Amino acid sequence: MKIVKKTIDKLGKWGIKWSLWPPHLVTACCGVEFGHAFGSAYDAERFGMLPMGSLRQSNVIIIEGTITLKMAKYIKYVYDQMPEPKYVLAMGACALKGGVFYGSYHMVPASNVVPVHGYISGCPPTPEGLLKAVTELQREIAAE
Amino acid sequence: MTEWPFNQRVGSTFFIDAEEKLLEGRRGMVLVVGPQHPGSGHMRLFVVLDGDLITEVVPDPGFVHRGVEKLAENRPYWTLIPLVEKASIMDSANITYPVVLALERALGLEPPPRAKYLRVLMAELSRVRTHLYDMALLGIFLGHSTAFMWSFAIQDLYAEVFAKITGARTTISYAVPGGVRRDIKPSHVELVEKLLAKTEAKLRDFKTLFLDNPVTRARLEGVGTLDAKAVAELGVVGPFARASGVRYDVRKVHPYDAYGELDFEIAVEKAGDAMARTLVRWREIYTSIDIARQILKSLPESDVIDQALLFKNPEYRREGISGVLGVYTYIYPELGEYHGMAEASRGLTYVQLFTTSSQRLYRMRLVTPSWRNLRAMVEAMRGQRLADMPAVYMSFGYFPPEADR
Repeated sequence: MKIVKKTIDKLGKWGIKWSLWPPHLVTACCGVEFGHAFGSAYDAERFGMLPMGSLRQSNVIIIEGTITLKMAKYIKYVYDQMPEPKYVLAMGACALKGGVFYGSYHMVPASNVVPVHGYISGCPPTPEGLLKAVTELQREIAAE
Repeated sequence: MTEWPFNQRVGSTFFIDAEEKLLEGRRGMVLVVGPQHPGSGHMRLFVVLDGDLITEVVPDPGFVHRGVEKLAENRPYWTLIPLVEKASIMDSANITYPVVLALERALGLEPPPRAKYLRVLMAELSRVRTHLYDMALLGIFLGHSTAFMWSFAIQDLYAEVFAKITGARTTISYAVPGGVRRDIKPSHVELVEKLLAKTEAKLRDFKTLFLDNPVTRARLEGVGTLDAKAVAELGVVGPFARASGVRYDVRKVHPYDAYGELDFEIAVEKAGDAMARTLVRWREIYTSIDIARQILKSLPESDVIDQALLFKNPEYRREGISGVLGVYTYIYPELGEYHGMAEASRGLTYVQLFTTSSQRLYRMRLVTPSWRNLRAMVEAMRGQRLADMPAVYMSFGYFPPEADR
């Protein structure tokens, strides 16, 4: 019985690992490099990633840069509506601490809104950086 | 993890519990589109529907309002360029142009001819890239993901060339007061020539695939029509005004830097619908390629930074351009009010600087094209079918970070 459970668990993790689908939740200008990562040169789809219109069928939020106070509420809404297990990757210096907008009256660091699994530094980060974070996340999922 | 106090902010109007109640008393159904929607996101529209027809659209921008104008008041003037360019990062050579022009007037600097040409070169390459970006998103909005792939494949070449010339893929901060940050090498000239040839070759196929596609034409033609009078009344700028027959381009009306010496025609369409707005930008890509070729052919030989800055740092031969940029820390702008105006990819960008006698500004006003076009976008959606809303939305190239600043 134990072996069956272990095998199913492993299979489930393998499935999650290769089907990380982010919802279309573009929060700021890092969305440009996010687009490049899904373009034909970098092609994030080979890691099983595809931006999804519906958040009910997605399991990873990629926060693209700045979160403003106005957006923070909806990030939280989207995160709460997504099914478990769910992961968050935060792109860019703005999501870390504010970046070039540090001290703005309309900024929230990403970690104050949702639990973040991985940060990607840069302003904006390169698509390579994003894909590196994705592979790290996949490794983390497999090792859970 | 600390929970953000969403509802405890004093005087906040953002946190309304039931969005549908905002438009109470309107006839028909109120549909809330966004801020998470299958398009590009960070924008919310309240769409009032009568059956399938849109009777009214109330936009709710501000999801990417990061307070650029307020932040600019508390920073030294030379840090404005990386701050402002985040408004529209794929278009950074154009969006920082008015700031640089205004700062040059405040500091009394004059860029040498080579710097003027290099700035225009990067501005035009940026324009090609932005138009392709907008077309990629238009493709996604119409459900045509092949257009997205093709367009981003061409854009990636631009990102790589920008990285080679300036050191950054998107946020290039190329123009600085008094010149440009880096000179261009002979190998870069070859690179840009190759890039332009490759773009032209790829665009031919891209046109067959996307613009001449009967499905795309059916989705765009006759949708969201604005005539020249409406465009003038609503204050539309850039290619979206030119799509309705308004012949206005800052590059021609108030030529800045090298634009006065270059020979080019501005693209104007008459129809004023979504297709015309796309076609104007399509023709502008070719204009930009032509301008870039002219610049590469007649690139003058000189320094790339103003002599006045060079003489302030006697060590500049040893330290290179980075030593020259340190000079900004000990020059001061004249007290007064300065303006800068440039034609960004999506239209006129205007900057007004109120300087103090110190290195900090008193106030910066930044008027970006997407914000000016928002009103027209909403007007163009009125009377259309709901299914046509994405086509009208993206035909205006609306980029929320640029609009919200």
